[in-house]
Amino acid sequence: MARMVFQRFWTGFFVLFLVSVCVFFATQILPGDAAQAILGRDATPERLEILREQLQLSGNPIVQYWTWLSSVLQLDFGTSLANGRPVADLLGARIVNSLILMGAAALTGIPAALMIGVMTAYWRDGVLDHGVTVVTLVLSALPEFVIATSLILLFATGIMKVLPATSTGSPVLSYPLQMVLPALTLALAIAPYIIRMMRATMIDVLESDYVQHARLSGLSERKVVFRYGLVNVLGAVAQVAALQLAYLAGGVVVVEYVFGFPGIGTALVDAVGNRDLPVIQAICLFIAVFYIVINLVADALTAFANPRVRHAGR
Amino acid sequence: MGLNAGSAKDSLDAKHALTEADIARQNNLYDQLLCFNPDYQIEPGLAETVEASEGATVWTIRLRSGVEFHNGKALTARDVAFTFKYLLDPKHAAPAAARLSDINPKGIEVVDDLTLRLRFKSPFSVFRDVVADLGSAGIRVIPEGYDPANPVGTGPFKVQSFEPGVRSLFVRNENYWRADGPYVDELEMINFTDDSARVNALLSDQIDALANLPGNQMRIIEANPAYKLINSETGAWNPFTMRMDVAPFDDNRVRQAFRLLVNREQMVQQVLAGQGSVANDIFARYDPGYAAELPQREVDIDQVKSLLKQAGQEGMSAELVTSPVSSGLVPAAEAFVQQASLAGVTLKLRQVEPATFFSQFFLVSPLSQTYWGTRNYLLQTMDNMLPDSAFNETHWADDEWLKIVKEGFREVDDAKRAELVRAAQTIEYERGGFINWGFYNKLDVVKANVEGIVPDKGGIALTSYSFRRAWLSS
Repeated sequence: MARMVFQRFWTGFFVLFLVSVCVFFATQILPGDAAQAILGRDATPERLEILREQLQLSGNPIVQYWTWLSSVLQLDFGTSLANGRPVADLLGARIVNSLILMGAAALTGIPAALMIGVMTAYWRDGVLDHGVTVVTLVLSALPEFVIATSLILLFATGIMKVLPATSTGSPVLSYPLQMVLPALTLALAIAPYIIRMMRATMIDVLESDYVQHARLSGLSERKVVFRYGLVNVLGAVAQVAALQLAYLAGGVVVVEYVFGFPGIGTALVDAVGNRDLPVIQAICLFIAVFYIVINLVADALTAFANPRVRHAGR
Repeated sequence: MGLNAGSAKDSLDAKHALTEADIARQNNLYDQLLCFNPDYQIEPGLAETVEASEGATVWTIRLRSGVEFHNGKALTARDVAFTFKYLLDPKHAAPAAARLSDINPKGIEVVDDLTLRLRFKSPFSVFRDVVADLGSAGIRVIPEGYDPANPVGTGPFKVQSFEPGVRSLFVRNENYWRADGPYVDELEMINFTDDSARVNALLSDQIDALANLPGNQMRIIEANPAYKLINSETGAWNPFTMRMDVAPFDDNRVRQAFRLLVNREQMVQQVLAGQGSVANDIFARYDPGYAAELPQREVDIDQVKSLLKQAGQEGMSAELVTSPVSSGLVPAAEAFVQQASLAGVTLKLRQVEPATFFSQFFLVSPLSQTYWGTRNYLLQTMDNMLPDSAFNETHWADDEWLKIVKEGFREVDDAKRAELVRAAQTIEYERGGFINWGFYNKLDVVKANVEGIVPDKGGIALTSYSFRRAWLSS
């Protein structure tokens, strides 16, 4: 088990390195550089030259990459080309905001989805089951911005005016209401798949021999479902939940943009427009780390839930 | 207050306003020597007078007394001299520098505490226009020893906090020199990258004022008594540009054909949702010399076909490069492609994102687009029509025209200068490379209790963002 975690840790590092190389070359292919993007129409040759010099953009790209990589290894992410502020200062608060947003979405979306999954499996083919099936199918067919816009219409601008439609850029925790609609959008985006997986896996388990045996032994239904059913499902569902969580790190870009939420998503869109390489790199690395950590945790959970995997390394 | 188009590159540094959000913030933080009022007439600002002598080669600026910077320092002519030097410093690469390049470097002379004299290398009759411009190349007065990290101006509001691309909080300058305003205690400006997010913020009562309402949202606002629509006629224009130095647009018959190809009325209806007016290829409609008497060009397919046939370009095709660098550009390009097809002209639309546009296509493509705000004629030509202009989109080079325009820069008599402008515009009407199909209205929204924001011809949102005028009624 420990060896597996250790191995995965090093693979993770290698993946991060590959991500940084890919991002670097992708941004090299983009037409125009930061100086051009910052000045826009005002990019006269003289002004471009001055700004390029100030931003240290000229020079061999490979050397630039190497300089960047060596400072990142010392946990120095450089300064933003767009405004000269340290990337760490610029993104620190935004990363926290995005993590809070994803956390809120996961903590509401995943448990609710698990509960609904269990309920639909237990009362399958009932009214609830059919209703949930229709709703999850519709939700999973809709892109996030449609869900977001509908929620805004419903709760903020149209039918009811009870929640803020967009974020006003204030720190998330000083005004938590601004998080409700984006978190709800993300929760609705990840829940359908988990519900359907949970339902299918739970049905298998409920029909398995050991559950039948437990029932015949006279255990109460609650114990059957929760102690024998749920525990055996969790391993499989942890993987699905992890996939959906990892998806959140990408999905958050669109949702943050729609709500003007001050997280890494809006920062990434802006940084690409500005060709602000240090910021793009830092955000992509963060998203990659998030993916890797989530998958690592999910694998560890699966291993822990499955005795065969848990003891395989011995 | 909800702004659009903010970015991490936003800056409060008076040397340049790179984004519209920068203009909004800087117009409240700094003041100018003169300024255009909502009727596009020049009014005194920090200067009581700005007067020419010696055939417009010498300009004398007389400052008003008793003005203080946010740090308590009194405004003097030395600060204004510092401002010009700051903008002209090549290290700062300020966009205003191009307009001031004729100032003799040794000719910035502090006469007394409140008087500054500037000597120009050649006559410069439009200096008042330059210092009154409230746009991205505005001359915003800063104190001697100015530090952009701690931006201090004389403006109606002081910086409390600023987060580029996100928001800023300004507080009222209690020592402001004007008697009318500022009235509100705090001014919070919030950036919204997305148009609908900005409108949603207004509809859910998160902001009191919104800059640049998309035309298609106008009906929602008009129907709602909780909001006031500020509909400003402006001199702003988003023309198509034809490069006059390369085929096929080096042939004036092709340019004339393209100018007769565009259905201006339809453009105004489709692209501007009716909120604008038809233009006649020339620009600077508020210039005293605007050649309004030239016959209005209308769409004329037969004439287009015959002109193209004469030029040997029957059934021609061309690439039209567009980019969402300013609102309305892409829809206008799409509409033009449709209209051209009626005359058998095939336009291939190529849409690129802004950074790509400016690095590879702007000033290069034979057929493309540009965007400009309200300007008087001669000032506008400095930006994009003179031989040394940075943005000569049409690669315009016309000796007869240039002679007239140069005379205009020397002419201090307003009436005579207007005559020269009219003559220059007539030449451009006959053989220029712009297809200016319309002047667009600026649409802004304020909540019903916001007073003082009025329509402004200057083409900058929310009365040129002069929030000192705004107050809240109960």
